Amino acid sequence: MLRIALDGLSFGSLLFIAAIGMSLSFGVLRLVNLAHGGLFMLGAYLASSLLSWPGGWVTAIFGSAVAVGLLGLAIERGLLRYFRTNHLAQVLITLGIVFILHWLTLAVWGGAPLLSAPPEIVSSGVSISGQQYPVYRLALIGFGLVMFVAIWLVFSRTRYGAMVRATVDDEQMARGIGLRSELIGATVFAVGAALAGMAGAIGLPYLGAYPGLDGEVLLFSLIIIIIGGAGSILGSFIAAITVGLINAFTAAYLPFVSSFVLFAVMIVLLIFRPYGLLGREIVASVHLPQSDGLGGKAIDAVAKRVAALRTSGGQP
Amino acid sequence: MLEIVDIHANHGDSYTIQGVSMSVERGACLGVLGRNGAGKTTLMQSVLGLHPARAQRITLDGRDLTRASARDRIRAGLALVPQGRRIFPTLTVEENLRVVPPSEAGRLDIADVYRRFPRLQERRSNMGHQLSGGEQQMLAIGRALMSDPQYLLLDEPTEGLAPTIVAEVVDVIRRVVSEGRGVVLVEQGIQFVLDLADDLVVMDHGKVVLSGGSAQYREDSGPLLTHLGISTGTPR
Ligand SMILES: Nc1ncnc2c1ncn2[C@@H]1O[C@H](COP(=O)(O)OP(=O)(O)OP(=O)(O)O)[C@@H](O)[C@H]1O
Ligand SMILES: [Mg+2]
Repeated sequence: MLRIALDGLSFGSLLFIAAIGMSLSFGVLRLVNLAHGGLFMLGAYLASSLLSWPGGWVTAIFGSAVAVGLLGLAIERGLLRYFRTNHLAQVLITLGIVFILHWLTLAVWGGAPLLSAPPEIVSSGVSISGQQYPVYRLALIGFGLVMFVAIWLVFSRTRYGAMVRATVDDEQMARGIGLRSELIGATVFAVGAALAGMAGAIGLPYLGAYPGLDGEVLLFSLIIIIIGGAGSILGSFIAAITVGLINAFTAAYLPFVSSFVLFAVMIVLLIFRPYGLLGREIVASVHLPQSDGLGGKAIDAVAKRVAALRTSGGQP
Repeated sequence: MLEIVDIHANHGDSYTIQGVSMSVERGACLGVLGRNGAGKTTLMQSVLGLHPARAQRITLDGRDLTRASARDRIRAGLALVPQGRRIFPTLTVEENLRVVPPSEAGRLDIADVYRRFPRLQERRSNMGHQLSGGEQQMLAIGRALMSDPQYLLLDEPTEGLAPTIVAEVVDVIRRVVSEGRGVVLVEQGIQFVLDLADDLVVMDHGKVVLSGGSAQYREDSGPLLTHLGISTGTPR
């Protein structure tokens, strides 16, 4: 029991660091980034190579974070900034990046799964319910908590955080007091990418690096955003931990319906809280097409769902 | 002087500002009247650079801002109190003020804003969305003053406020003008504008249809009433 719970907590902590960037980009920039899982995967692969550099894990973790963060900055400044309101273009561009990252990692690192031993200081085990439990997993939980508190403090206590929240609240008005909401958005995207890269690195001894890792991380991130509410740090944390725990317990007790349970929870939650646990209602700036009939209603429902996913500057 | 020469703007296909010119001196107040939909808000947003617009010329104390971004206009000394207040709901009162970047003139001391609006100090750690309408309006004005602007654009600052609070807003605007800042005051209430403004323009369908010193209309507001249709003298 306890071991399963710890498995869930450590996986959830890792998912939080992986998903928070996507949630913030979505909430702050209203940017759909399907390449987020790819950035995580790139971080993992980069770390596997950087491990042999001087500095070992420190180099691997920070090197991956910085490199992937810079790549994120380049993607946002070079491409996505021109499609701020065009979600279809964002989907297509980031899907293209998914393919590029896929081929790039395949060409550089090959298709065989890579795994590495955890850092020396956390490589031992502690005795939990009579068996050895890896300290590395416990360290993941601690690291996830530290990152959660750090990100939360930055967003709720600093002037930079206030600038970001002002931009989320009302982007036009943020410009109307002289803020560079464009650049603020770019930094959020870059930091989110860096966190994904960092998560890929610290998760290397756990998830490893393999083709297809990107898709799995993307799926988990999407679920976390939907459950937690886009742009909500606390919501993302709760959602990530919940997803981690559900994943661990269903894998242990209901292995065949594991992913079914996850989606069932998501759907039930959406029925009662359409904007996620801590997501805010959105002043949808999309104009939904009028449609009749049953098919039309279904399309409407989906369109509203999509509209609900968009966080938008609340214009009174 | 803040001078706007021949500014045009669209909302999609509709041509909402059709060549407006106006100017205001420092230490003076220009009133902008017009019915609903006349284009007043679009004009204010265009002057600040929030709404895309084409102008022959926009100058602030002789400095050319025709092609400047909103940020540069604000840095040069413009500020907007928008219609509907639009304070940031998830920021506290204090954060709403602190988040404003300084202009070239620097920044007002937060204590100065609190002296003007003691109520805001009491509510400094409340979230924007927890404030009453009057408090939100105070905060919107305080926020605009934070960058120590030379020219302040106020878009219907008394909309939906109780009479006692309207009186407070009047005092605040008078003080801003007496400090030597220029004010552009958009309002629906004729009496309110006549009380405060030195000059006024009346807009209709995106054009200026009447302009001049407000003194003449204090005697006889007939022409104003004609141009404003059914508008009465009381602020909404
Ligand atoms: N977002 C928008 N999309 C399309 N048209 C708009 C939009 N905002 C305003 N308009 C149109 O532009 C014109 C001018 O609107 P504006 O808000 O500037 O008028 P206003 O004088 O400020 O009105 P009010 O007194 O109601 O505030 C109106 O005809 C309005 O319908
Ligand atoms: Mg208006």
